[in-house]
Amino acid sequence: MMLPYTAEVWFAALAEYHATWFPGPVLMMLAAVSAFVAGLRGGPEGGRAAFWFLAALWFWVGAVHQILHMANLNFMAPVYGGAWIAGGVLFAAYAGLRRDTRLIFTGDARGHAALALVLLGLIVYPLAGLALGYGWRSVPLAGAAPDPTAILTAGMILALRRPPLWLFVPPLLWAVVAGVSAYLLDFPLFYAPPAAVAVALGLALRGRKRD
Amino acid sequence: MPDSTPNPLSLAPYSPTRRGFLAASAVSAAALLLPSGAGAQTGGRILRAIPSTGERIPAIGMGTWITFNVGGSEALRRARLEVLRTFFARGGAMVDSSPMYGSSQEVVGWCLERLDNAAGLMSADKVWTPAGGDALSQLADARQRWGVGRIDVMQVHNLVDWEEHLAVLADEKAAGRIRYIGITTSHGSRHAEMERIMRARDLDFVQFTYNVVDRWAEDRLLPLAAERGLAAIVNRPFREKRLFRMFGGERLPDWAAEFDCRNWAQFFLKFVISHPAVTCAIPATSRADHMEENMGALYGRLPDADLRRRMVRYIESL
Repeated sequence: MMLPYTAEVWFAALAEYHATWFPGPVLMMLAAVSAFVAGLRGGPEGGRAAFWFLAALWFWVGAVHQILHMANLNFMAPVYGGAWIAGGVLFAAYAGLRRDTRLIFTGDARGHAALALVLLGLIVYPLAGLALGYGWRSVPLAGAAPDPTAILTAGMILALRRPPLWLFVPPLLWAVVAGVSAYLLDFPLFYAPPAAVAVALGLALRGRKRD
Repeated sequence: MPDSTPNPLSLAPYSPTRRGFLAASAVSAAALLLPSGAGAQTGGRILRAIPSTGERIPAIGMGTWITFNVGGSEALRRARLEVLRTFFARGGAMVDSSPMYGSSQEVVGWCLERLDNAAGLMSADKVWTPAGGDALSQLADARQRWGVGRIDVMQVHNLVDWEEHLAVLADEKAAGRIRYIGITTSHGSRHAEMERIMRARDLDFVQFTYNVVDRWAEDRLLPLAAERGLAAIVNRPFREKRLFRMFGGERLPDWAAEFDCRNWAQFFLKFVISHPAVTCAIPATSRADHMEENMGALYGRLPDADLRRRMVRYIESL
């Protein structure tokens, strides 16, 4: 895999994306928060609503961030965009077809880890981008930028009681892209998605063994 | 036939064909003709002739992969403007880009529009199939993005669909809409196929990877370029910054002063352009101070054959 830009350019492109598509990125961040709040409310209806929100986030990131915005910088962006849209279809199908979609963020290590990952995606990752000195215009927002959206998604899937493993495929694929980017750009923040997805997948697998 | 990819640091000879051996011998003989301990060029810029026309171009050009792909950011574009300003102020000419490099073509065009010292520009671009459209439409896009009436050197990127594209480029050259045509590869890949095309087709330029560590091109491609009268553009002369990570912390040897080398960038670049079959190296940078260092390699003496061997031995010892 080759990356045709630097981390500095990636953050500059993020600032441009926020300005070009405003208020879209802010609305998508609110949708990301709404996904979490819907999951917190509990019950299958709340879970279904959370996955409808997640589907919307994945459609947005794929269509707008990757295909419409990043394609000018990265020849692979249309491919990534297609994968994000396919991820959106997957989450929409899950929300539409599954009955037991309760999300649980409390009670055991797995619930707490799910909560931690969601907060990592919603709060910590964007603040880390800010702390690195790229400015508030370049803050990577969950729902609008791919990395925090993938982290949030991994946390939400982990919060399901018996998540089907195929649900992890979209964030896992992005985790690979982010991990390679982190290595090629020598930019540690981009290792967050692979770390988050590894934790979520590991705990989910452990939970399945116990069950 | 698989590409020959020996250990880049190995000094073991390859087994050449008779024709390849003769070409390699001719190039080696030319290298030995350089005076010992001193380069052939002093004073002005180091220029190299394009064999097909005799036109002489500066031996240091610049690439735009990653470094000029900055999108719409005004601040980053202004920084690249200074890089290009320094490049032309220090006597550079060849700027190489590709539709694969994101917004690089457009950013180069934006910079050229704002420069008053770019008269010597030699534009080099590529046709790259995945960018969409045919060769003609990509050529038109390149002209429009660069803001030039004619692209000087048009190459087929990474040999993708080269038969189809070369035919179109040859027609465009015959019609005077391109001055030179060529083919490219990088990272040491597809050398065998490139060799076949170099033997079979009427080209002006070839482009491939060559640096003090990755020296596969010395075996066949550089001798063949000399034999066939092809100008050779060298990409990745710094291995995309990795040579600095590998050796930049080491002491530059005192004898580097024998060929007017003041820093590692000039060490790496002078190694490349002192090969007699090399026409132009195209290092990429996003910083004007680094461009200043790179362009220093365009002046002064070059290492002769003995010094080139010593450079390799020194690098291998680190």
